[in-house]
Amino acid sequence: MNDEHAQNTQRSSRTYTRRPEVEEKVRYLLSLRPAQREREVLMLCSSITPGHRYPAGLLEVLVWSVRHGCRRVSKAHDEAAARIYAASGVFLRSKVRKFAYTNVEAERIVEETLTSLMQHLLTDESTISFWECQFLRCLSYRFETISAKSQVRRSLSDAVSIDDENACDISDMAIAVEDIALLRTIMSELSDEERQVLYLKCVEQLPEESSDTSVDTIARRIGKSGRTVRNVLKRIRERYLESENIQ
Amino acid sequence: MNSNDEQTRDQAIALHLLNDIHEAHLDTALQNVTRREFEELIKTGSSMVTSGLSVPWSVRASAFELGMDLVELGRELRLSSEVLQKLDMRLLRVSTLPERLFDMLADLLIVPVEHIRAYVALPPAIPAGIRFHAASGEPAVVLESFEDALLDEDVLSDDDRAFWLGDRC
Repeated sequence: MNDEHAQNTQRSSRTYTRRPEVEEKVRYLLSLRPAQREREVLMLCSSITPGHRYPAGLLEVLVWSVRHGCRRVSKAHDEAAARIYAASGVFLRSKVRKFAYTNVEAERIVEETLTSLMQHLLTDESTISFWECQFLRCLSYRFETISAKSQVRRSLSDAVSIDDENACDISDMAIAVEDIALLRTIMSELSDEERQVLYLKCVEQLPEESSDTSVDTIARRIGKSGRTVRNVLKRIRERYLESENIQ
Repeated sequence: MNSNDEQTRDQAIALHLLNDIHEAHLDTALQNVTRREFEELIKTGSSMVTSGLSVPWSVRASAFELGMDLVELGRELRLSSEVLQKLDMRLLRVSTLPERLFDMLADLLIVPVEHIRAYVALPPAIPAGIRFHAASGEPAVVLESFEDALLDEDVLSDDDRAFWLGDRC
């Protein structure tokens, strides 16, 4: 079960739940003594580096580590926060290229988003909780907000004051416009098998497969092998990465 | 399944999928960034973290958070708790502190070594009952050298003293 920090009860009626892989890692870290935990977090930090595959959910685990898992003055705290900053910077810079901004403007938007991220990360605001569950989505949303603000500012020659109060109130309804279009496409083009696999993975949160026969898995539910399940998921991901021109 | 359930289900799928796509996006971006660029970003991130809010800290508190008291920490460092107490209260002259003490302390407390350096360089904490100079009103704190603090210690073994002072003891 998620701890209270993973719930955003004040801002939204919906309770956010960490993904199983994130929850499992957080539970594992919590079971360690503080010194062991911080050494483990330092190890996790080194997993986010160029040339390595990005382990799913790692940034959420690091957000939790910075906010709750490590002492405020510790190598692990500082390193985790710095890695979050660096990975977010890489993510945002690749994202900003899709827009027709000048270099200066693009860099300003990225910097503004990163500064905002760090402010939220290093302070005790309750709205940060959601970031532990959907970090990249929240970051993306924050980026879109700042980007939109920049566009308005540009069109009105800086003469506008934009209410930014709710910009970090990221509720489950707050999906960037670009994402909504992508999601519509995704959902309309799924085959029955893909829908079923995604339902079992995303809603029922079943593991793809397991050697333990008592464990309910996606493979068992659909009567296919674990490899087939993984291939279905890979196919979906690849198809939409192509449509996003990411690869 | 009614249409509401279906909509909720689709939304849940979509949100998870969106996360998956974002992660794939990051994965791809990480493949395309150079190690040097990434190190630069980490450096900027680090400076943002260290320039953030100042957090109260002490050697004793940091050790305590890791489940150690000064006696246990002293055992690891081959120092008495009294010497550590003086270090924690910044009653030792910084220039006399050996470099490896900073390194060992940083390793044991798992904190950045720069943080320890900055901490010991702060003005001394005023021990309770300290006398004040009548004229200036300044506390009469006399800083001790690391070597003197060790030589004054009865509880320290000869081996431990030699570990820190070599042939000076």
